[in-house]
Amino acid sequence: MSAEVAAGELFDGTSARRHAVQVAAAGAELLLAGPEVPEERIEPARLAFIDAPPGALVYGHADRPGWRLRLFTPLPPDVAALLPAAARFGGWIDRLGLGRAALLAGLASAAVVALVISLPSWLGPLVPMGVEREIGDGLLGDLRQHSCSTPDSEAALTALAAELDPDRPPVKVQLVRMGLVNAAAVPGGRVLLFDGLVQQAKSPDELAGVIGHEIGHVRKRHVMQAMLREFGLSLVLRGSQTQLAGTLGQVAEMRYSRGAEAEADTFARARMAAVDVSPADSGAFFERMAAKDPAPRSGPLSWFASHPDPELRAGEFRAAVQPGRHYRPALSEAQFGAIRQACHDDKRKDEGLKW
Amino acid sequence: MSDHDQVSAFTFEGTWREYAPIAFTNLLLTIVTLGIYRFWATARSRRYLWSRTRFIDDYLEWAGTGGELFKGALIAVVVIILPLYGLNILAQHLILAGHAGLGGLIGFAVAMLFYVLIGVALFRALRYRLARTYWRGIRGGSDNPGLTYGWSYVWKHFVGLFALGLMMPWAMVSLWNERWNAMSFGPYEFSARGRVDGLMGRYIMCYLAPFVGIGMLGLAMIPAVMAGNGRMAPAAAFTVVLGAFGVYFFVGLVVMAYYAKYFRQMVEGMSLDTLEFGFSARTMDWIKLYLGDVALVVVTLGVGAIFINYRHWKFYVTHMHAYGHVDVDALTQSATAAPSQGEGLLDAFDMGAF
Repeated sequence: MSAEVAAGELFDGTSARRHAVQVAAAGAELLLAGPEVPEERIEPARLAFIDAPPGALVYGHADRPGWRLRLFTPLPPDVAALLPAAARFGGWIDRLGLGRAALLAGLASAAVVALVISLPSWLGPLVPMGVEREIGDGLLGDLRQHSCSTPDSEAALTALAAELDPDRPPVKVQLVRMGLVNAAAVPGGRVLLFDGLVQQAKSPDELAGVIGHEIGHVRKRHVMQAMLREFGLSLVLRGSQTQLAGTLGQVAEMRYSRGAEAEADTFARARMAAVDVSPADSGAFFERMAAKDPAPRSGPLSWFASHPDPELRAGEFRAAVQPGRHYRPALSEAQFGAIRQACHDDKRKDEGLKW
Repeated sequence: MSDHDQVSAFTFEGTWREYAPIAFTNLLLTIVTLGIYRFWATARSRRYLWSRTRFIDDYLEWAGTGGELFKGALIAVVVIILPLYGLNILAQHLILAGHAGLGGLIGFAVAMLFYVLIGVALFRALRYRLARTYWRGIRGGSDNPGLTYGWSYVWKHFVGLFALGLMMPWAMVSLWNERWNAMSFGPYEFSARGRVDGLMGRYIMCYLAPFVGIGMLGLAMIPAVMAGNGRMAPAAAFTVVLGAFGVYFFVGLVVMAYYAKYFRQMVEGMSLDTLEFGFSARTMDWIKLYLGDVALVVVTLGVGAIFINYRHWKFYVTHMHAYGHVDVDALTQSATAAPSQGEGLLDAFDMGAF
């Protein structure tokens, strides 16, 4: 038996009385004794490190709630060797060391964020369109009271959408009574076309370019991807913010990536080419937009804010014009007129859509 | 050494130099784990603060773990927050779909339930903290699940709104007493007999403060506006902004004066067996505490926020007093159930102050 003993104090967990004790190493066990406590052999494995206040080490016992052994430092080496190691950060961080643990955790976190960012791109298309439609209806309602619709305008928009996009089910293009020079693909495979843009358009081909672009977002499932991105990331970041009251308003702030915008442009140009509609006017339209308002517009659903440089896009659309090819107008004069007149002719009482 | 009779039974012996390594490593690990470490950070921070808090002749011990806080928060999110969140979405969905009545009803029920749960969360957090606080191997706790308190939290606050909100001090006092009367330490139950008497004067001042402040601001603005011939010079506009800040500060002072007295009176109404408690922080002490917080955060560009827990704990401990004696042989182990998880709900609501 070792001659050296550690002095300490024991609280037995049954009362608040403090007992003076001495602890010595006895082989693989600790021998605990004191004037007021019966001598006892303790298996070091049953001890748990609690704390290291100045000048002491505190241990608990796995089977005895409130049992606390406080040993005054420095401890005899043979006693210290039997005691469980002190913990600072807990668990694997102590085993790895703070620097390595922080580095590893940082890398893992970066991987999680990267995964979450890329997840929507391939998860989005897997969400059934029906589910997306339900979400869209839940968020925006049917918007019927804000839309302008006459039988002729409805027929013209349906015909244009059907031509640009023969896929089923058809994408519904809704004309919204609102002055924004804007259009938007919204959850549920719908395209909102704001009257401001219609009034601004100089030809049906311009409308075809814009609608083709938005239908591209719908068909390539960019809408669901963007929604997943918004909600997915916020879920992960909530760990540090713990604000669980996320708002659905985020949907309105959705942005597509530049890649998605380019993809939608390519879709629009391909579809227009397939139905003999010239991309020239769309090019001119973007040029006008660029000249009129070079700075990106702000506000939700703003069409130009998240889009590539209008001048660049204008160039791409103009370059797609095939010289010598015979193009036809996207809509007849009568059809184009019906769409332009829809908000004027549709006399239903409405104060317009407010965002 | 069993009996003690001293004025300041509580002392805080921590130093910010000792706390800084804990605070900074907590911040680092919380960032690199996207916030998940914060539960373990809380436990580490408390373990330090408790271990440097002396009551009579021995130190407190925080026995809670990050793991149980994490588990508690996880349970709260899955079992309570997510279903409530889902119900809320359902309510909005119903309202948009034209079922305003049903949607509104569900929305109202969710809001009520949420309010009840805030009460439950506050109660259970206190219970958890007492159950995880040891002194000489003895802990506190409660066997009350806190659901009754949750309802009290709702209806007492509702009654508090009566008479233009003049019943609010009663609600606050009554809730404090209800909460603490359900708690125990060792074999003894806490007795909380806080009184409303003497609080009304300062509470009414809180009511009048915004009007007085805005009135004074208005008076102060008259010369500024007149000097500018009805239009406001930039300097005058600056004065107005400063004045508005002044009103805000003034209202804060008055509210603090009420809260300081409320807190003093509540702690003074408490006893545990033969121990009586007291709290010595006056209005100016609270103001200094909060101005110090603001200065600390501003001067350090936000980093100082990691020391706020430390400051507040030190504030509570140094102003807390106990009178009487403790019979250490009679102070036996608490028979209340030991918690298996932490203050999850409180964490989920982001109300965990310590």
